[in-house]
Order: sequence, then C-alpha cells, then structure tokens
Amino acid sequence: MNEVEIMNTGLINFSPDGRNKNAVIREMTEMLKSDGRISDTSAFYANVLEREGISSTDTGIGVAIPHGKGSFVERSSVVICRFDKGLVWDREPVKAVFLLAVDDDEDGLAHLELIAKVSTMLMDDDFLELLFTASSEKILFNEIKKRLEEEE
Amino acid sequence: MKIVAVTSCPVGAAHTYMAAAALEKGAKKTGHEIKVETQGSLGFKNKLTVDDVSEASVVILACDVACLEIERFKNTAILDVSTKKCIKDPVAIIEEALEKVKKENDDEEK
Repeated sequence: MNEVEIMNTGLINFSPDGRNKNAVIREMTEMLKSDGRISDTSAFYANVLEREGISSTDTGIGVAIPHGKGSFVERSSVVICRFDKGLVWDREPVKAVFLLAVDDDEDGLAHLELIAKVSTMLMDDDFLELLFTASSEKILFNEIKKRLEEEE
Repeated sequence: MKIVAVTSCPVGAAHTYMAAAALEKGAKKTGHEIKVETQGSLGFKNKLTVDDVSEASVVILACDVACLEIERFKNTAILDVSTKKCIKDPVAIIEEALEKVKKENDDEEK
C-alpha cells in the first residue's frame, strides 16, 4: 500500500508549479483538498498564512514547514513538495516544503504524534540527503513509511 | 555535563519536536547528557523532574511561546534561544550553554 494514515504518494510532488511562497502554499493546500484531507481551502490557507505571520517556518536546513490547524482539517496530514531549482521562503532559500495539516480535536492526537515523527526525520542528515536527491516520490514515501513503522 | 532543555512553538506540531531532536543530536555529538522536555500540542512530553533540574548545570529554553512552569528553573543557569537556532546549529547551542555555565561559575568565584 502506498499509504500511511497521514500521507500517501499522491501527497508528494517533486515538480510543483508554484514559484513563490504563497503560490506554493496555495498549490499544496489544493493537494490536501483533492485528497479529502481538509474541508475548507480558504480557511486552511488563511490559517497557514496567519502562522507564517507570527514567525516564518523556515528552519535553516533547506526545508520550510508551514502548518495549519483547525476544524477545517478532516485528517491530520503531511504534504511534501521539492523544488530542485530552489524557492525563496521569506529570506531563506529552501529546497523542500513540508506542509502540515493538524486536526485540532482529541482524536487527532495519534496523528499528531505521526506528524511530529515526520518532522523529526528532518533532523537526520541521511533523511535530508534522501529528501533532496530521491529520484522519485515513491522512493521518498517508502522511506518515510519505513521510518514511521520502525519507531512504532 | 548534564543539560536540560524545554522546547515549544506556536502550533506545537513541528518546531517543538525538531528542536528537541536537534538538541539531542547536538549533545550526543559533543558528548554531553541532555534531557529535553517538549511542550507541544501533545502536552508535556519527557517532562523534567525536580531531580533532573537540580542535577543540571544549565537549562536551554528553546521556547518560541512562553515556557510553562518556568519557576522550576529559578535556581538554574538559563540559556534562552529560538527553536530555529537549535534546528540549524545544535552543536553551537550546546557550546553556548556550556559557556554560560563557565561564565556563571567564574562570576561566583570573583
């Protein structure tokens, strides 16, 4: 199965169209919507931008991790885009974006744990290398799936 | 040296846990012991006990939003940083924390 609870291969795109931060957030929001993971694209998009307004979610390691949280999230999820030509996220150049959608009700806690695990993978140099160089979305997905299962 | 740390961020979904993992990585690289409490949307995880705090030489507060129960650290040297700095260069943060301890010890001797 090319699916774990919080994501699937369709939620990874190595050739996105967006060329600037807001366009990318918009595009990734649409990916979540078409997979039935959020109910309201405008509310989610606005919430993500609101969070960015508090402080940019760049990390200094070439990955930005914007996120939205609220009742408009149907299933907590992670969507990933990679930008081989680079993308400027506020002042930081990034090569990949992990957009997190967080369900804010109690049932969402188990999923939140999975999201935290995926975020933590970014602190592993081997994982980052794979993220930036994997030749297909499938390869990256399989690695994430493997790591999520290992830790359980 | 034993270090304790607390991490938190506005939504408590990503930076909190990334910074915690980063500090653990930095401590391992530099050969120090660390325990990191996360105050994220999963609540308190790996919560620091009174003993943890009293044994620690320094506490690193990587809290982008107010640290909860901060009074626990009133007798400990504190290094305030952002989660982003921890994620970007955890080794530098550990070193900065150790500098802080050294400086406070020197000041006490004077």
